[in-house]
Amino acid sequence: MNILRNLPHAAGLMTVGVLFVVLCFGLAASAKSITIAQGVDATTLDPHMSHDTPTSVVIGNIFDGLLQRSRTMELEPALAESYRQIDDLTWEFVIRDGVVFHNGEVFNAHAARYSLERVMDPNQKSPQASGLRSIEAIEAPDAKTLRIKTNAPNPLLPVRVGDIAMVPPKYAQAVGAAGFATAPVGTGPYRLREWLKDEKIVLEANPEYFQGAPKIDEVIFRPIPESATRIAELKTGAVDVIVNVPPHQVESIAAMKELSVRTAPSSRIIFIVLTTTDGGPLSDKRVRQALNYAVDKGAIIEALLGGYGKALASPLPSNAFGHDPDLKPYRYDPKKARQLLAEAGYPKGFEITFEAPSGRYLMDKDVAQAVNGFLQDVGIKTKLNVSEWGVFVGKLYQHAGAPMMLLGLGGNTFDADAYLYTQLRSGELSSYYSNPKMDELLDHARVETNPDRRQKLYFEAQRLALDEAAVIPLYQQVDIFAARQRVIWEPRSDEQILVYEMDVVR
Amino acid sequence: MNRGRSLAAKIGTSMGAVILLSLITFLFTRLSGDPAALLIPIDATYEELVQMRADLGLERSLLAQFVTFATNALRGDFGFSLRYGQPAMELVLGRVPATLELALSAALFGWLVAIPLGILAGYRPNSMWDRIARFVGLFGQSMPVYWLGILLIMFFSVRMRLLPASGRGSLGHLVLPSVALSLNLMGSVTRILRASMVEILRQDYIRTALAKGVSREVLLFKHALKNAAIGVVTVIGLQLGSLLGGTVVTETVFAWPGLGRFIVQSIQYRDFPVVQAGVLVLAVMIVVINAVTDLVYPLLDSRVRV
Amino acid sequence: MKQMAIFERKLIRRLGLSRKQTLIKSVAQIWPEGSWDLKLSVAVVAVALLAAVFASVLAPQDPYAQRLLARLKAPVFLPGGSTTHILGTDALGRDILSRLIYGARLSLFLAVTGCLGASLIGTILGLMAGRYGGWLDRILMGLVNMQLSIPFILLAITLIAVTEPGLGNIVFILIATGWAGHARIIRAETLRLNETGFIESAKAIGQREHLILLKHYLPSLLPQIVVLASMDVAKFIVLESSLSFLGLGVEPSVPTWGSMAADGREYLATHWWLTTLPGLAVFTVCLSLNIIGDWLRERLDPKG
Repeated sequence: MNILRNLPHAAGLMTVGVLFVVLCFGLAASAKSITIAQGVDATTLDPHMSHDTPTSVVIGNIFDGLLQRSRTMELEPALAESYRQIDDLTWEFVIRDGVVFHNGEVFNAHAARYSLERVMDPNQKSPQASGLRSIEAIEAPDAKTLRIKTNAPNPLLPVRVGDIAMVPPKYAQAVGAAGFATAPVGTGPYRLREWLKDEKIVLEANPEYFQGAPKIDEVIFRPIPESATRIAELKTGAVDVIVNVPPHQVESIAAMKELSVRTAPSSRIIFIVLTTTDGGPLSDKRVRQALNYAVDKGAIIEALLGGYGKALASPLPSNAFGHDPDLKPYRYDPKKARQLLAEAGYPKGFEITFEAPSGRYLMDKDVAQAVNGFLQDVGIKTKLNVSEWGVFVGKLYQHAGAPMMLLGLGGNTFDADAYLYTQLRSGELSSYYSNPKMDELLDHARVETNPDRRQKLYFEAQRLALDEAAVIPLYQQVDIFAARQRVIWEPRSDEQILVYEMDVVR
Repeated sequence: MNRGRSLAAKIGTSMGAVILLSLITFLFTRLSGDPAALLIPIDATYEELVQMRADLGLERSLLAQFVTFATNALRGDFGFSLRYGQPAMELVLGRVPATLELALSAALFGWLVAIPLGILAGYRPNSMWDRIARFVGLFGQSMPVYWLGILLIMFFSVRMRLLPASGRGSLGHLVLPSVALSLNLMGSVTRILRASMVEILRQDYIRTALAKGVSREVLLFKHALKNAAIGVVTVIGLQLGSLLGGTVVTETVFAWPGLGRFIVQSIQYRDFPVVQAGVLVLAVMIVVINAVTDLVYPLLDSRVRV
Repeated sequence: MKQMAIFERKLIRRLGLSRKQTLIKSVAQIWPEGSWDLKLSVAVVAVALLAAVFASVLAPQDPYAQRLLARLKAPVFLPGGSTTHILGTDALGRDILSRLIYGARLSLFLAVTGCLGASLIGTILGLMAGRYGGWLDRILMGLVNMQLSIPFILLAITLIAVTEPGLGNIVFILIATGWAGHARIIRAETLRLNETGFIESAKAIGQREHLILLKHYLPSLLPQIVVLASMDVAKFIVLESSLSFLGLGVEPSVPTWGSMAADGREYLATHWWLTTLPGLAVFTVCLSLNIIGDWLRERLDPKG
């Protein structure tokens, strides 16, 4: 009796209960969260102070530039609707309407001008300032127009300017540099919710994002330095995406059906700097050629990189403007190497020091040891020094290091200028090569605004570098990521992880 | 009177040590490399490198740099981190809780196992317990922490899904790094305790007491243990000291946001202000631990008379 | 010199031998007395020492020779292994057995020199601090605290920045990090000895200070020194490994057990033997040294 009398109540309660549960599930399903593990934490969230990739990856989700790179690395409009070159020295950007920063401040040409000038301000000490060196003046005649004057023709101006993150002038001035670094405000698809240093950075979606609300609601970046731990966390499901997967771990990850390995050709190249200007054995072109013949790039790529690399003919990645695809790398030919050494007057080889950084690039220590082995095979008595990056880079810039140094070069310029100029133009900080012909080619290309003519100049520079064996180009890296299957995402070539491009199933 | 004077002297020497340490750290960091080279991009010019160095105050003489550092430090100003752009001391102090958490839980867990094991081993040398103690202690000490750590992660997190593999947050996150770290320090406590026990149990007065019919248990816990404790307290003090600063490898493997990893990263980036602040904080913590150890000695050192 | 002779005679007498015999002969003589684990330990250490001394004869292959295409070969007892590389090959195709054998030489050299240095400095300073107390004690203990607060990695990086990399640096770092622990423990022991009767009675009968130190303190401290030293061998090998882990160790082609273990850790999930075999080598040798250390300690004990 009692039961019967209470039945309607029970039914009612049950319905409410079921509804509640459904609602809960619905809410849970609608809140999409993703966790990304990088090697180290961001050092700052001030986009103008970023020095390293992990930092710029986080920042890339909070800020926008005037231009952005498409998935194929073409330059396309972002906070600028369009841009054009008015004359050799003047560029004009049309600023997008109706974009607001996370704090409600309006974005316009004045904010853009402020952002660029903030980077150029010597007191700011921004590491990006060197890219804007050619700018003479910036004008914002109205809210929609940004005009930039350069001191010389600069074909790379859109690349350099388009990349600079836009920050809100009032807010940035109010909080100061130290305040902005921990409480960033941008226009991007995500804004900062919480930052526990060395533990995690939590971002939340910005529903007002000018390109449309992001699909994923919450992003957590976690620093996990040890690659074995990163992989373990991916396997336990605590993490959805990891970076810098060592090539030898690829197989074990690919074997798990809920995980997948995802790759993208990187803009990073690995090569060996040769000191050609000190009168030592490497000043002789034949010796440098011999070194190039002696190193088996194919074996290094196959064995140490698991095939995730591409042999290079010049210190320029295949996805950079100006790369000459027809150039063939030196083949592996130890006999030829010995013969060239003998011709140069070193039939019994010579002694030389080879320096490499450790823990800076993927497999750097192993690659250095492999190269070392190949050089010893042709009779060169190399002494390998592996040093910590801070020591290494100091010596590199001071020109106080070993005559041979293993170096990597990357970035998001995707242009020959960023690679060849720094490495082969005499007098540059990390250039150990000097050749008037090369200088002329690189200087000319730097101010040549016609893309076809510019490309020809770089083709010629690469031929010259190859014939001169100015460096030992090794390989262009392939960036290896791993992700859980539920993550819909393909990695990009610019080392950025744009969560805006991602989605998760279920 | 005497006590007060010796305490004052102790504080005095500790202060002296901390000041000397700051000087040494200062010198070491300045010798260790050029932070400007790490802060400029590769396409910078030589002038920009020089300018950066000037901005950082590195072009001035070492003495002038130290005077600036010391006067600012006395006012509690340790400068801004070169890498983070944040106040250095604030960044360092932010890491202290995580470090203390890990160090204390590892130490407690390690001692909880090591002390009984050491007593058993010393009480009955060459017994089974002695062998087990030796085996466990040496295994923990000779297998590198990263090896133990990665193995623990692979088994308890990946295979069994029992515990989180890395990071900080819940109590569960603390378990694996504490165990890995404690396995490493169990060895020395066990060995020292065993050695002291063996030695003390051989002392004449213990033998006499035994002959007089005092029970072994009373002897063990009342006298032998108290005497053996001196060595152990010293080791424990030392271990806490090294735990606070020397847990880099564990913190790296388990992605633990502690002071050790932070200081090492800062050294690698030549972030001088942070290194200086960090070493200072470490030194103060170690001085405190040692003061506590020194206070404990007299309590243990009352000579045993039977 | 004379004191050393006295000390040595004392040592030999403690070992229960007539004073004419040399130390080596005496070890050989008492060898059968020990238990099975002692015998095994002596055998292990002997093998390690033989490997260290005769590495170039014993190693089946050149430990430096790389063969990239024969990398990561499994040991003979695992599927895919072969007798060409009994313990397999590492990431660069070098023979692991040969590297372990050569590694014994370097690792033991590093650990033993480090150990001797740390123990010598630590014992002298700890003894002085404990015996004479006062300002000397405070200054020495201040130094100890300072040492414990300097992260060894700062020391390591500074050394790398100002000198050429080499084995000498590693030994220096080991000693610099190791002496303080010895000093503190020896000091604590000395403080305890100060209170014991026989020191006072020695003083009462007018014995000279250096003789008191040599005849009373040192023999009583010896057990602690031996225990500490035998633990330090393991600690130092692992410390060298940590240096490699942080990229500050020996030059990467140079085989040491520590650097082999550190370099192999990347492969723990897929090729476990790379890091585990050198780790086990460290463990076995250290366990053996420890057992021998304990036996020696008992033999040396004044009340034994």
